Amino acid sequence: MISTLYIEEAVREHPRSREICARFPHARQILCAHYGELFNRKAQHFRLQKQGPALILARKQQRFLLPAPPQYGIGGSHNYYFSHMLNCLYDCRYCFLQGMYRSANYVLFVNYEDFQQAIHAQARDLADADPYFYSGYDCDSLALDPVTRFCGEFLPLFKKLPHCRIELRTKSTQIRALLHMEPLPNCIVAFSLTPETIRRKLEHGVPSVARRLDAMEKLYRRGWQLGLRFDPLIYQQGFEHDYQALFAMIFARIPATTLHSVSLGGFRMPEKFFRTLGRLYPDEAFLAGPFVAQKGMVAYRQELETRMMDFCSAQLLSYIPHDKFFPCSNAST
Amino acid sequence: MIHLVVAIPCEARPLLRHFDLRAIPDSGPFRVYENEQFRLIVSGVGKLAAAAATAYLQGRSPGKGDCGWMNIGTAGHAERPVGSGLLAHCIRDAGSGLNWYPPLLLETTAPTATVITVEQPETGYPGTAAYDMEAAGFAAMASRCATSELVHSYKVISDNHREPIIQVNKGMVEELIKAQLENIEQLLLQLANLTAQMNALQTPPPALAALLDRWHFTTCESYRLEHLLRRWQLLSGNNNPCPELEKLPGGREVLSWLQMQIDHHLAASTP
Repeated sequence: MISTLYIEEAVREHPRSREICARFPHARQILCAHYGELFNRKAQHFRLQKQGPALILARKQQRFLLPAPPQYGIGGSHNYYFSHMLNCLYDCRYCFLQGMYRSANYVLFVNYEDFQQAIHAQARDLADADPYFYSGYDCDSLALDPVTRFCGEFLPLFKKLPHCRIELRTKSTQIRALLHMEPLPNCIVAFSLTPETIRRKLEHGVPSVARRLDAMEKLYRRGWQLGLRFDPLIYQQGFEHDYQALFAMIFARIPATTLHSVSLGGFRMPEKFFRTLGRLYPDEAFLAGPFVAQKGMVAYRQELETRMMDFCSAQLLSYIPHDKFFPCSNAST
Repeated sequence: MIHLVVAIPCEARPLLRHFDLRAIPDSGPFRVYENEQFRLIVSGVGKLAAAAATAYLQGRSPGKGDCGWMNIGTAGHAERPVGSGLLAHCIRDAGSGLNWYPPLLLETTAPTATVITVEQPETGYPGTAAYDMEAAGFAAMASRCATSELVHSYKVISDNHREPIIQVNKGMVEELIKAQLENIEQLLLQLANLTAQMNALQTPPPALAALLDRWHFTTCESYRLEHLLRRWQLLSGNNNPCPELEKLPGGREVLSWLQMQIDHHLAASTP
């Protein structure tokens, strides 16, 4: 799967680097001084690189923890995200990462201890609050877990920080580590979902909805709290039927009582990223869809977004109570 | 089109014969050879010459599409056997310390290595890198001409600790390159494939040229035309709007028509 490993000299001897290198004994190993020498430089092409992404092992130097974008929370008043990894195993045509990065290589920051220190410090400062920490903003939290050992390394920290919550956001079925752990009451395993027809068209490499439902069922039976993320909502003709069927399929297997939260939001993306996507995928019909650009963001036309949000909200609220429902606030619900 | 940059005629000769490349008459300060698929330039020794030749070849290339770029030549290495080939996974300019990392999308049985470009032949071969005199100049220039996935350097080892550079001569270099032609060709085929993929992304939508010929568009309008035409074609599944447009008097009306059609399709698909 990974045929090339780039390794920053500073983390060459880091135990995590050594473990990952041992996992890919046939991968060529190339040393570099700083990942920025090869990640996201000019004259790189995301679509070509996606044919064979390399894994870059690096050290994150600063800004381990960042405030989450406002109005994207799931109930907490203090929201932070951290990115132990940049880029995603999957290839979703609507994903902002394709517009944000020029490189499709995966960057893994192996100095987890620095992230953990930053989380610990923030948690200490907010001892009387209920801070939320999100891990799946610039990557899929679980998709590469067998390689990154992210769950095994980070969840024990949150066991010691019961007033904090961590959200793992994923489209994957890589739950083995979670199944081997004691469930944490302050961990939310949040699955991003779209109807199966949309997955087939736009989410290349992502496991089927059915396989993810299997994973979700195993997790809730084991005692893990789940989250559902219908974000972005993707329009297609007959979306009502597709999303209705998706919700019915989910709630037939996952009891609403086991859910921590359900969120949804319409597709939106910075205009600059959207233009980049258009250049990368000029043959992609999705990108020719009913979008408008406004104030630097591209989104569905307001009336269409409102229609989708209203419909999906009503459907979801027939399954879950209002206090578990978190629509993205730029919608009209 | 794939551009090949080699330093000296004896490195070029096996490639000229193998790919049946013909000299371009009056090719200016550099000897340039080509066929329908490849264009080869003999740069002369050193990174400045390599950069200049790369820029010269780019300047001679008509059209907007990206070209693939491959620097082929010889290098010294402490241990690797003379005659073995390697693909550069890092190209370092010893003078400036600058590095280029060609994304490795090409599959090869040859090993990969760092290639360090030096001003004078390196006879101590420190470390595990190969040493040449052109790759950094080539990479610095070629990565301005094409996306870095299309810029590569392949080196054949000509000298090492056991077989020093003093033994290297023109005939030997020619034989060394000749013996690596199979590997080189395999890489060039893959490079041609990547280049074709890249150019397919930049291909203007069908019918654009006909519309630009038929009506006048300002530069700004022609960009808008391309955008609208592509979007209309994706939405309608129709590649040729020309019959509908024949009766329109000017470019602005064409743009309005396309916008109207797009709005119509979107309205129909979002009832």
